Amino acid sequence: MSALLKKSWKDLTRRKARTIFTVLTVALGVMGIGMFAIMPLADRSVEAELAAENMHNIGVQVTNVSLTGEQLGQLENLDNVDAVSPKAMLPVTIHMGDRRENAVLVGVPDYDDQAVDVIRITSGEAPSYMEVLTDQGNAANAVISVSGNDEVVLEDLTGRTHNLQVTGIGKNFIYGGATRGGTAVFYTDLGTVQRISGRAGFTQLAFTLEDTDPVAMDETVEVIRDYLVANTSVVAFDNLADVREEGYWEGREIFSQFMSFFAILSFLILFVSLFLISNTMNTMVSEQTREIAMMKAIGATRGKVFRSFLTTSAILGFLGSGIGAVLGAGVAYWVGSTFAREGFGFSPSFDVHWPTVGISVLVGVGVVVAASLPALFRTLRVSVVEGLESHGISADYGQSFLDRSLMGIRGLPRVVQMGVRNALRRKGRSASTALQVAFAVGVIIAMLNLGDGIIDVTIRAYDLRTWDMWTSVEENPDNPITADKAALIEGIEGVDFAEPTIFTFAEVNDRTVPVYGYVQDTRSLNNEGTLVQNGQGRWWTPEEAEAAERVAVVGDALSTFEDIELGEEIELMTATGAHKFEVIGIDTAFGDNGQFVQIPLETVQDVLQKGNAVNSFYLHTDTKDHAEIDAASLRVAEEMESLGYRTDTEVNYVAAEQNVAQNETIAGMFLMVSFIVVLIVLVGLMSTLVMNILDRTTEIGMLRCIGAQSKDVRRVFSSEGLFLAFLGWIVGLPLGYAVFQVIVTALANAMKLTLPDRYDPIYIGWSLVFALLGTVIVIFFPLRRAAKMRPGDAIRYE
Amino acid sequence: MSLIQLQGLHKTYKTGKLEFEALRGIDLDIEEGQLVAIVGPSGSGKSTMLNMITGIDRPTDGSVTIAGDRIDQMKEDKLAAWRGDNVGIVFQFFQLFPTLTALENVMLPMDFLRRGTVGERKDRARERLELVGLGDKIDNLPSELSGGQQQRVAIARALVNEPKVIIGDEPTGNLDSKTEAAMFELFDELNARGTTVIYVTHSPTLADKARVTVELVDGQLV
Ligand SMILES: Nc1ncnc2c1ncn2[C@@H]1O[C@H](COP(=O)(O)OP(=O)(O)O)[C@@H](O)[C@H]1O
Ligand SMILES: [Mg+2]
Repeated sequence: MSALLKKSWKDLTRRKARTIFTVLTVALGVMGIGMFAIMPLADRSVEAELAAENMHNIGVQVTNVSLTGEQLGQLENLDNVDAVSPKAMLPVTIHMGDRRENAVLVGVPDYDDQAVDVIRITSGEAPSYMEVLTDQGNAANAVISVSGNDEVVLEDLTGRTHNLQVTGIGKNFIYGGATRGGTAVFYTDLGTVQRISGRAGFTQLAFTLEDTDPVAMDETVEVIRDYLVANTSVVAFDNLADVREEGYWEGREIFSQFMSFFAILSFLILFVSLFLISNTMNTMVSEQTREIAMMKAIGATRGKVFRSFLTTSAILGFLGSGIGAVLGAGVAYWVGSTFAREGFGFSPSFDVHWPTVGISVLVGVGVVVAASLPALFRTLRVSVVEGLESHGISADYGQSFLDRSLMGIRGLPRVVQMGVRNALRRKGRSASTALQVAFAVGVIIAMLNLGDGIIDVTIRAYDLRTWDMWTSVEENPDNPITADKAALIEGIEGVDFAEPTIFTFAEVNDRTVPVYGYVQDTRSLNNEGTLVQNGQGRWWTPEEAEAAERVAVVGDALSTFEDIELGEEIELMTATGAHKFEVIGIDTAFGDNGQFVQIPLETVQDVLQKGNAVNSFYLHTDTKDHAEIDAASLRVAEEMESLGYRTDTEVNYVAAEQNVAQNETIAGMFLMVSFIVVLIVLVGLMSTLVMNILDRTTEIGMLRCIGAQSKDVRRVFSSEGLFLAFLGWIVGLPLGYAVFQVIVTALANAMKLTLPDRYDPIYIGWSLVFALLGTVIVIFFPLRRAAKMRPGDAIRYE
Repeated sequence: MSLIQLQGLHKTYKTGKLEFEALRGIDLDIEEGQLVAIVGPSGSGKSTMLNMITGIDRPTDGSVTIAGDRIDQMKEDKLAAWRGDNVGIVFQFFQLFPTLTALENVMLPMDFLRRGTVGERKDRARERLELVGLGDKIDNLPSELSGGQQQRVAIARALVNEPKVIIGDEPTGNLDSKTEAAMFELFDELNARGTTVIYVTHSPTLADKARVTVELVDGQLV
């Protein structure tokens, strides 16, 4: 080891506690940077899965179409089409004891010859007639648990039951996703689906393409549509074609938004650790002012001194960054694999994203060195004489305006007075400590408000719903449900009123948004406040509805993001192609994050060529009693089923509770992350106090000499700590608002989530309580150390 | 009985593996109202001995009895309170708290003992500062006072609780000879009023002015 390195190492080991604090703080910050690896890792592992399944570029849903081998060949020979795989999907019900659960049956022509969206068999063997594979996700969901060698009982839409033998476990990225929604998924052969449905045909066509450029893919969708309409029974696609762009996977966007939010927080953490680092370096340098002078006196050049400290900070940086990078890689893998398992049912093998590791170490070291530069430059300016005479105590207290103003404060007990004034002796150190506290207070206040805002928005969104249940009816071309069935539903016990509606999706410039078809005199939407009072424009007239006019009321956020103005014409891309609508209203409701389109029911029916068919009903129950609503929802499901309609009912109060609970979890997560910031800040505060106590050891001895008891000494330093925390809190109040605004803006841009502007005064009080309480806790050990100092040792301390 | 009794006093310092015996069996009685000078070469154990008398440090062996109290056996906090009440200490270097004014520095020992009202403490402190000739500097911070003035504030502080003993560890070591003489005058005056004064000095002139001189060499009295 060189002498330089040896000295640097000694400097660090001399104050072990402080070094450990600093290294840990740096490590936490650098670990945060490691979070940036989650996204590329997730992409990589999902890509591998998708490649193994040969995931489609275009997925098309059609109504029971029979295709000959020749036609399949022609489809494959269409321009830009690489391969095609047809499948038949059938919604059924499975018996789980006395319960009935939703399930789908996926029919595959030939398990040995799958080109696109391959169903992979993880155990057992391919099913033949009246046999099934159970999706691996079924077992993960306790409600629909079916293992590899059970027998399942399926019930079709006509109520007949079929016993099928399970031959093994299968998995597929696309179909398997339904299991997480509580729908059981089974894979079988084509014959089984034909037998149970009584239909011979396909419902899903999956294509891979040669050119996956978005424009080329859109063109190919049209080519496929034209071919099918011209050559088969297909009239229109049942849904928008699923065009999957390169690198896209279901849930990627939300996931990446979450991750970038975490990444931003980790930058905040790194930023906070800067203060601690610069404090550490500052103290280390000023503690050694005499030593430096001595080094210079015996001939050390400025460069040597500079290098010596640079080495010290680089060692700190490498230690912290090294630990942080390892932690970061571990956490990134852990988050990524947890997500893959929970979200997609596969476990990626351990993987490290080396670029992130490299960058995080570089940033960590760079940041530490940069944070110590001011202290380093200061050492160079200290003259030899100055340095040799230094006792490490600044004697210039009282020069500044601040010092003077504080001296004006009367009426405090003497020890408190001393503590408060002492806080101004190391102005740089105190300022950065107070700023750290301010930052933590700011982050906490922002996070609490943010969490509240999210929950608020959720509750308000649900408050706007006047209906109690929303029953959607599974699409069945053989037996479409029409608007006039509302009267029939109203006859069901417990149902007061039923309103027909269509819920579908459309694209506005490439953004997929929900589209609601409402009757003109709807009783299921309370838009008095959100449209009439706070929004712009108007609801449509009975005449417009009657004539199925192309008019739309759009959500506020949608209008902002897509730059849509009142009176303008927008184009909605639907399953039947593009249609133009005049925007007659902009609604400020928070539901769907303010991104929705509302259209007259008659217009939706016309556009989608549905005749009088609808796909759901808003139900208003006789009472608001939860038990009665539950009972009514059961009766609706049974009645509808007896009419041959498979339904799915969303009960408003349940959905609201679930959503609020979900968002509370998210809010809690925000809070957890901000606690890391708080933790670092507390470590910083603690280290500042330890440094102050060490600096003033002689003073502590002197206090003891003139009769101070240990409690007096403790009060001097606790006053100082509490004062710093208090200062930080004051600065933190406006800072909290600023941080909140920044995050809200970031959320609005990244997640397209609009949150109300808020600043709840209750958190002003709470943050003070937390700041002071946290301080009291962290200063316990430094104080004990101060109070335990023997006056004899303290007086002699150098 | 003497005011201060040191019996069989030993003090061994340990630094790492090294041991150093700074006091090697001191027996010393100091009567009330005495004016004692302690002399001896640097490193002979003078400060160590004073620290035993003030209870700042504890002996390795032997006993320290002051006004009947075994202070070497007192608990640290009780000792601090005892010290505030019974001894005033003046050091050579750094003594004042830089964030407190001269007046506040002098009030501090009374604050710790919670003696009288704040108003009374203030009056008393002002009185003491006038006594040391600093009546016009009471609101100055230490950084605004000269070395001699700071030392006088320290003396004012040392005697504000009217201690039985005033102890100075080279209290004038840092001052020019004129200020030194003025300072000694103060000690002399206090002693004349009955306070026991013990001080370490390297100055033969000051040593001569004491009524009793104690000489230490290598941790032993000679
Ligand atoms: N805390 C300590 N640890 C180790 N040795 C000490 C300590 N304090 C003093 N000494 C040593 O004890 C001896 C006596 O010191 P001191 O009483 O300060 O001498 P004096 O005041 O006569 O100059 C010296 O050699 C000194 O180095
Ligand atoms: Mg000495």
